[in-house]
Amino acid sequence: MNAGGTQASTARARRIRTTILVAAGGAVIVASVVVLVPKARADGGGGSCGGGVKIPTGGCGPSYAPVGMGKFNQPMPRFDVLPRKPVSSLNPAPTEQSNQTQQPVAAALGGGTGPIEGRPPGPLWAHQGWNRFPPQVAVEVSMEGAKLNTTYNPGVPATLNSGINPATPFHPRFHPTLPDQTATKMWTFNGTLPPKLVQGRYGEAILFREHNTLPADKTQNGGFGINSISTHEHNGHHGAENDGFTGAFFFPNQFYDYHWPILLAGFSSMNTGATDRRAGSPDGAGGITNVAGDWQETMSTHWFHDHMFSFTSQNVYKGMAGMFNIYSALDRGNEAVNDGVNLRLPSGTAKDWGNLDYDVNLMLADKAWDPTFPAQLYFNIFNFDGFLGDRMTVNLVDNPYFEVEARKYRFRILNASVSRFFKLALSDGSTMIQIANDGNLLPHPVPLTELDEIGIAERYDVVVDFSRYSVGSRVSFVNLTEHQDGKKPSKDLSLADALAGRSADPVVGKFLEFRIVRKPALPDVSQIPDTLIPNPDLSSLPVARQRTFEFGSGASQTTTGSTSFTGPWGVKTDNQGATLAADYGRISAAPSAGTREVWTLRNGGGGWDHPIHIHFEEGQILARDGSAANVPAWELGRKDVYRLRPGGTVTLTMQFRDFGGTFMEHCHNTVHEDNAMLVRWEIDNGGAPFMRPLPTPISTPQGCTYVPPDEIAPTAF
Amino acid sequence: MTTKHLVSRMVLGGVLGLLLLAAPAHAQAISTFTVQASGSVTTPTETVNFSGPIQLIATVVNDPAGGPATSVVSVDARQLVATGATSGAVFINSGQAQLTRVFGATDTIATTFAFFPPGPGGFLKTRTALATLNLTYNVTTQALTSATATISTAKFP
Repeated sequence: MNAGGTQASTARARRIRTTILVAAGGAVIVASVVVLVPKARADGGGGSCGGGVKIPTGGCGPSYAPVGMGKFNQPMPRFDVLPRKPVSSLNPAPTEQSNQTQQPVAAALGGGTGPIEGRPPGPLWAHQGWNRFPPQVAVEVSMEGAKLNTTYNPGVPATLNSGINPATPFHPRFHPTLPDQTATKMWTFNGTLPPKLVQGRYGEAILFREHNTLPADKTQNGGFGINSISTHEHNGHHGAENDGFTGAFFFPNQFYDYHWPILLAGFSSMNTGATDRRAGSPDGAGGITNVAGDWQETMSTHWFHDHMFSFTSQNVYKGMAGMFNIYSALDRGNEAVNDGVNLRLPSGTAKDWGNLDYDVNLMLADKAWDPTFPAQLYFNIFNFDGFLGDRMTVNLVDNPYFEVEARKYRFRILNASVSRFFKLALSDGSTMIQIANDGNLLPHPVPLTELDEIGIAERYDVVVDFSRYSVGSRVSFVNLTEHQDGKKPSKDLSLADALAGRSADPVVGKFLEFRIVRKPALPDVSQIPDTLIPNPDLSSLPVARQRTFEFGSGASQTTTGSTSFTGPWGVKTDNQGATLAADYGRISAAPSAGTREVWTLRNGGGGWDHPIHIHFEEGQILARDGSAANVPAWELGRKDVYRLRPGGTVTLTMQFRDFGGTFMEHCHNTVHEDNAMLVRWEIDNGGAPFMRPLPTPISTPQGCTYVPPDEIAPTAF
Repeated sequence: MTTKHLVSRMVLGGVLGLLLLAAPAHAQAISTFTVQASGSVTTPTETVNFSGPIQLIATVVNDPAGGPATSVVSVDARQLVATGATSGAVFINSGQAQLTRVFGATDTIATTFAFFPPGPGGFLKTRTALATLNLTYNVTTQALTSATATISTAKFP
């Protein structure tokens, strides 16, 4: 076994290896230590501060927060829009199959040589649809340690970004009174803040090239995180080679080309002639470019994040998360185009598509700071219940304000926390109009004064009409959901109690202040139609299979090796045998290409909640706890994250079409996912190059090989 | 505050059922209730009177690890009839909520919901109402045994 193989095959060793930074007299000493993880137990081993609320998880006593720091004294930055470049600017040029050109490998990674691209080699992991949908736009990023941002592009003028001057270098810090995050504590796309935004449109394939420029020495991690990465385009309808499979990770000094063709589901079987204008994309000149596929599968708000096997929570917490807005004929990002198709949602008018003036991405995430290393990120890797921070961030700054005009705004709200749920209200109790859930516009808008608890990885798009407020007034987003641990929410407070501070959870209460600073410069011509995107009608399609996945604790492991992991969490498939811990070499389900199935997701216990994410295909919820009547109005659209609630079940239906390969399903409380609540499923009978069953990629810095599946669940096929 | 509080007693006859489910990993008690609610909300233009049923589903789930039991209370107020006292206009509402609560012998829930005129674009003209629910459980069976509901003006600082 070579050294590279050693790194790849010691997931558990990596899991228990951490690095301690010791500040001594202004010097920083880096020491690598191996810490034995306590045997997993159901209660996880939280903080050691005695009873009651233990937030941050594993912490004891008050967190590091300078006296007088307060709230709402710094502006919230818009996302940093990533440049869209010509594909020809990429060097080397992207290729259908992984580029296996050899290069030297750092000694810390085992030395020798290895391929420049980390994507698994050969036809099995070649880009599906490469020739039919060649990339037309390139987005090139690097994953690297924190540094100043000197190229911040918010996509809007400073007047629409709370006065932030983008020419001023943007610091990687949570508040102006705090020090910058170090290059080992924070790892982000391009190493900078604010978080990154990709803008794409249907029919315009994106080549997302990601370079791994993290330290070759995995101990240079600030105490948590791993330097091998895999980026998942969350909600993407792409081939599995572009899905960020947890085992298809790549190493420092490698890149990975993700091909995001941005296609409407059903493109291979519905509206193949692209004759329906509702299935379309902005053409850049006020018109529509028709595309194939089902217009009722149009998607809008995605995000992308690390999916490294057993390290997702740590890596995402370190900053490996961005958002991806997809524009279409229906959701154009231009509120003025009145063509009978465009829904004219709040956005702006200056550009043909993708206006961000009144369309704002919000990434919510609770964080904790290390009192030993002031205001550096703190994470507890020893608690398997879940991790809670005690500071609320929006777009990775602490409790900010945001200036708005007195008009309608769309907010694309992402819960990017590790384990925390949020329940949002406006501080005056007035109405928000929810228009989307996860990546998808709802069939009908839902006016709500309190949103439902938004689970980890869920996205809620809401419209807030600030025209009801006078210039100079203020209103805030308030979090009503209290946690006592990372297992689940403990309580939803009333708005009055949350405002009055009647919670021991420091993340309950106001967290984002809107300041109504002026009347709109231009008339607000945006609309919220009564009908948005009706669901595809699947009722005429036969149900090929029904499957059940039960998410519980006390998992056992039947396999060994680099693809398996032992943790307290696991999944029982189709009521067969034991609850099993994750092994991405095990095939738990294999739906046939072109079929429809019904899946029931069951929470195996009452002491926790699980927001379950199914990759690749979106579903429609048929029932909660066995009844269609239990599905609330805001869950009547398509979804990709299904929070189960304690003891609850969700029954959903999906089609499997267009692409194949190896996908996943897992809890998106990423501590649960990492320990080890994840299953692999695959679509492998759609024709060449696939085979049944698919082999498992084994990634090393020296190259990726394939091995047969460790195990196949008896009901998989 | 000009809100007029009208509290109605729970309609015991509206109890639709209590289901105790046992499973190897956990146990839960599900109580389904209909409670008659009434009250009024003051808006800038007129008082709106509410009356009608609120559907409640209280699911109490125990933690096998020994943590406190959780109740998830589903509230559906969409059958409430709301009428403008001056105009006679009828309003509809989107009063659905799934609320996580700490299980105990009693629980008071205060949750807001939007109401608005029916028809196209009506949801752009919303107002906010406050529903206050007082729930009583049998701590042994974890069944919801009684409830009252009040509708009033939502007013926050």
